[in-house]
Amino acid sequence: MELIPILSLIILVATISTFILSVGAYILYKVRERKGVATQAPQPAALPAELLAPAPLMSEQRLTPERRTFDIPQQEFGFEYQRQPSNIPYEDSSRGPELRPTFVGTSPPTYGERYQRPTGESSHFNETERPGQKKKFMRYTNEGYVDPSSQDRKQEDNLRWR
Amino acid sequence: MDSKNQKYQIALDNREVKPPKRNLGTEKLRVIFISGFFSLLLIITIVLTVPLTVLSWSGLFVYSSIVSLVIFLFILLIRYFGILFMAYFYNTRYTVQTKEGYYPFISIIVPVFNEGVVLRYSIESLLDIDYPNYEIIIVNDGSTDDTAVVGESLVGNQKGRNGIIKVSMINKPNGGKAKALNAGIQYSEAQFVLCMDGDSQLTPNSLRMAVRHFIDPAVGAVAGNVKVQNRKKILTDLQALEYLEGLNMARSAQGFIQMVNIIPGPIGLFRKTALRDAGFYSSDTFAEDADVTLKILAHGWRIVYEPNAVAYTEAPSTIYQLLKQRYRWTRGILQAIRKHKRYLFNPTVNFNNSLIMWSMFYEALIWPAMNIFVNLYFIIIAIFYGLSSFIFLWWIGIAVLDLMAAVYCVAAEKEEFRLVPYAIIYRIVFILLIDVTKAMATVEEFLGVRMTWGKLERTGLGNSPGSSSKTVPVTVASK
Repeated sequence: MELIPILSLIILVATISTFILSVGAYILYKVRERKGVATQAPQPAALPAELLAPAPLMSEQRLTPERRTFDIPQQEFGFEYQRQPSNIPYEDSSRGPELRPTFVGTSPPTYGERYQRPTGESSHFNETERPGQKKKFMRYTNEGYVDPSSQDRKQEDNLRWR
Repeated sequence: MDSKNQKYQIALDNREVKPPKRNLGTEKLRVIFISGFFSLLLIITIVLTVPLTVLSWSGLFVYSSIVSLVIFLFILLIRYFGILFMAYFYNTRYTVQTKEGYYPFISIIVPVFNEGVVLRYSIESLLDIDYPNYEIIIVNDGSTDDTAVVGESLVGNQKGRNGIIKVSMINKPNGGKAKALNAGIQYSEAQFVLCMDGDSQLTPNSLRMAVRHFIDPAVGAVAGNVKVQNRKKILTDLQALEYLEGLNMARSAQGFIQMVNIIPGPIGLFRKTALRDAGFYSSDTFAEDADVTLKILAHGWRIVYEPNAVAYTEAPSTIYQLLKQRYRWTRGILQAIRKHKRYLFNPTVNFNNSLIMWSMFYEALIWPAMNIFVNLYFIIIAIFYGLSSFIFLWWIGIAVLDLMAAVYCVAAEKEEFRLVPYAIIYRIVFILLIDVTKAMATVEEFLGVRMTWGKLERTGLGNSPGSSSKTVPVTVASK
């Protein structure tokens, strides 16, 4: 039974040491981090940047534009699933960021064809009604898009943990 | 196959959804007035009522401490077992539920700032992902080291596990992680984007496991599982245990109700429409991951947790780095909570969101304060009243709870069993250190002390445990 007072003393010393270490480490951290905070310059609406991208593959150029991009259809609000109603006021999309950057100067021909700015309307829509839906389950391989239903689905694709 | 890379000058949209305007002076005055008023009221009540009771000042201290301890113990047990049970139910449902494979096109956004040491390993792990339909977009946020050079060497049509993977890079002026992610999301043409950290490494089946949840159209985002890669030191082992027990188990519990409150920065998969609803990332807080998660939840989207979408990250290996990280996390989370405070005080706006906000508020503010109070209490009664055995009994109880949780988490995630013994010193040393930092950060946040991002030092740890080593073929960039 004398073990408990000894262990109690050890725990007490450890706790006090941790407190002192914590406070001391924090003070040292603040001292080390103490430097002038630069005032942040106002951010411009558009920022010049540089894009490095590989040239599109031949197989990519043959594919239809719908493969990668999607048009957000002008759909009415219609939910098939239960969602909490959004009480957030509609935010003007012109104040928010766009979905695609603007190419300055010469743009790559393939990007110019595929680039479609979505409208600023709400994005709530039923996914099953979007165009290009038939492409959703296509597998992209070296041969291009392959219908996965023609392939055997692997067991590990299913959500089984063990 | 044309292997030449091309450079384009682009103009990124740098706008953000404007946060609500704040009057800092008025806010501070309000805080001072309200807290001062209630403190004065409490002091007057105690001073006037104590002489009317049989309690002395020391008796009052003991009585109030006992009541506080009982409340703390009650909350501790409710919190522990609540999280444990919900995490268990989620994992149990997870093992019996089946979901079909789903392979939409995904863009992986990798924002980097001075990550030249680790960028190659991160991209190698991404090229090793077992998924047929994705691309990689590196966003160099104005790095001052060799990150741009390393990134340029990685750009091209690279050989992935299931085919050719396009790797692009955007070089932009420094503007913070939020703007870097927005730049990558802007450029992406995919329906889904995976946002990660520049130093993270994903396991090969991360994408495949995470994207299946999006078959449910109500799901707006999927939070992944973050693990510590650089173990073998006591500090990093404790953090590995913390990620298991404190973060991932809590996320499992939140996944049970499909309301994960923070999608981790190292791995988060988003539906782009959900991001658009949320106004994309904002740079007005230091926890942009918490902020965007709360915005997505506020718009009615569900957020689930996928334990098999694993990202390995480099944890701080020194106390200084650890404090820097936790200081930023705490202040960032408090900034995110303040930004969405209308859900705290008005549950009629969105009740689920209010629940999540209150749990975040509790974890960020109340829980650390309670932990510090309890430890101080036991120190005081041990030193001034000679009751030193109480601190031992307290430690035994907490250690048993932590050991139990650690065994469960290690077993559930098939982790290293050697992390379990760390649970003995986990709460009394590590969590106390973190909670003191949290308390200090909270005080500074309320006082409005300015802060900067800071940068964790990277050591570069090689490939992640889950991926095979791979040499990335170098493609020549042409101007």
